[in-house]
Amino acid sequence: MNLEEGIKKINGTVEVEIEGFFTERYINLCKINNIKIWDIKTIGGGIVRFSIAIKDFKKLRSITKKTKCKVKILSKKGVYFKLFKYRKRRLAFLLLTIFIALCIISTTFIWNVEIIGNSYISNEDIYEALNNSGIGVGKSKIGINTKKIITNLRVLVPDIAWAGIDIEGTNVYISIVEKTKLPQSAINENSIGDIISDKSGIIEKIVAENGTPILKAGEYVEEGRILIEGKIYSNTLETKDVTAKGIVTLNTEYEYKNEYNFRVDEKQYNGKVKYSVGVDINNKENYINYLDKSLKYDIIKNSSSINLFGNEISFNFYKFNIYDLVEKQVSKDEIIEKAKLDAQDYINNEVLPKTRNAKINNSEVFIDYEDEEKVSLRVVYNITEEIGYFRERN
Amino acid sequence: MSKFNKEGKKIFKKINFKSKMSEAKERFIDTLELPQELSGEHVRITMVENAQILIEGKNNIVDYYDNYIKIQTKNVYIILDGKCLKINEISDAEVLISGDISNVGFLNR
Repeated sequence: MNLEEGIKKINGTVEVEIEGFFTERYINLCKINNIKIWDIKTIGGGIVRFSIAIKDFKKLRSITKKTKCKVKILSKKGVYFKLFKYRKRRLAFLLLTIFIALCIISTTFIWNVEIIGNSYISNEDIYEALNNSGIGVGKSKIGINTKKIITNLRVLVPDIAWAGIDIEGTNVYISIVEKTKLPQSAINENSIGDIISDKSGIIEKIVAENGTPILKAGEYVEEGRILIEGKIYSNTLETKDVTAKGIVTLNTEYEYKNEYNFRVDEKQYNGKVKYSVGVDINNKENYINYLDKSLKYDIIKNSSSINLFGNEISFNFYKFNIYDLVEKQVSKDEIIEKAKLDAQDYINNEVLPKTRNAKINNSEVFIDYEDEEKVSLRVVYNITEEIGYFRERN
Repeated sequence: MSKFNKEGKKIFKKINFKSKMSEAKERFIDTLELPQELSGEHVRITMVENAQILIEGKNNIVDYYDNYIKIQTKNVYIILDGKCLKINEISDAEVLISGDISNVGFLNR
């Protein structure tokens, strides 16, 4: 069965019964006249039933005359007959037409934009540039000039070396190749400049690989001063400009200050746990909260998210651990221990990630202020770290 | 008389030419070891157990009953016996019959 025959069958088929003496001749004549018939069954007594496409039915007339058979239609199947049956239901037809039209129209819009291949250029920048160029969720895809959009995109985001747009149905895939950036060390090696201090403190060590150190170990340096100058001075030769290179380590102090109360509220879990569900749409949290407002609780959230037409929707499961707050008296030693832990956390999370090859030398706790209710503490850390950045000389 | 003789000779010549052509065709197929049905003289019969039979080649239905079908091909009559025999598809080049086939017989023309 080829496609044309398949379409004919869907369009409309008729089951026909013929009765006569020459049924075999009838079948042979159908075959000779290129009338496609199928599912031929004989019932006996010169009665044969078969199916025929609606278009070929009228062609049977001449064969029927020739063979002197009687023809009876048993059943009608297919879209044509259904439409004929419901031809007076205009509203249904109208709604069907509107539905089909909406389906067709909706396929002419972009429903999803996906960016592939970017590592350091953020998706938001590319989305914004695409929006300005004419591609975005909800925009029509008719008349999109991909070459123009690519050129626009490359102008708006200069770090893109190559871009390709692939429109598949209602999805748009943007493939991007980014420009590779030269490493800073490669730039530094080919330009003349100095090493500048980026922090204040006492210099512990200064070793110049290239250039002349301006300061000595033990001296105090302020932020922004030259540490190693990109020049080589000589008594016999002329002064030569070079790329300053070297290692400078500095002793710096970092402080952590905080106030602590002697009376603190402590969480005491009473074992009561409640559950709830919620939906987040584009990071907007919505969940069913049936708990009493006077209750205090910790929320544990389990979520799984999907991306639908560029909107992030996540389904969440919440667990509320309910606790009571109990007032407690804390001793000074306990406060100092807590302050040390807090300071350690602060140094590890806030200070050390911003330093290079840092080493903690020591830490001391100072009490700034104390009364019956609270105490103000200061934890000072002494840290040795590498400093200095290269600045090109104009 | 002479007129009839001439026409008779003409017909004889035509038949002779046709038979020679078919012989040459068969010889050609034999030498190249091609399938026999390519000559157009023979039919190819394919059966799926006793449930379905496909006859490829020019055919004509001579008799059609619920338990008996006689099909005319170029060289032989194919006779099918069985129960609930049904012609699924029929075209100039093939006929597909299904049902409970119990016997397939051949009768020379």
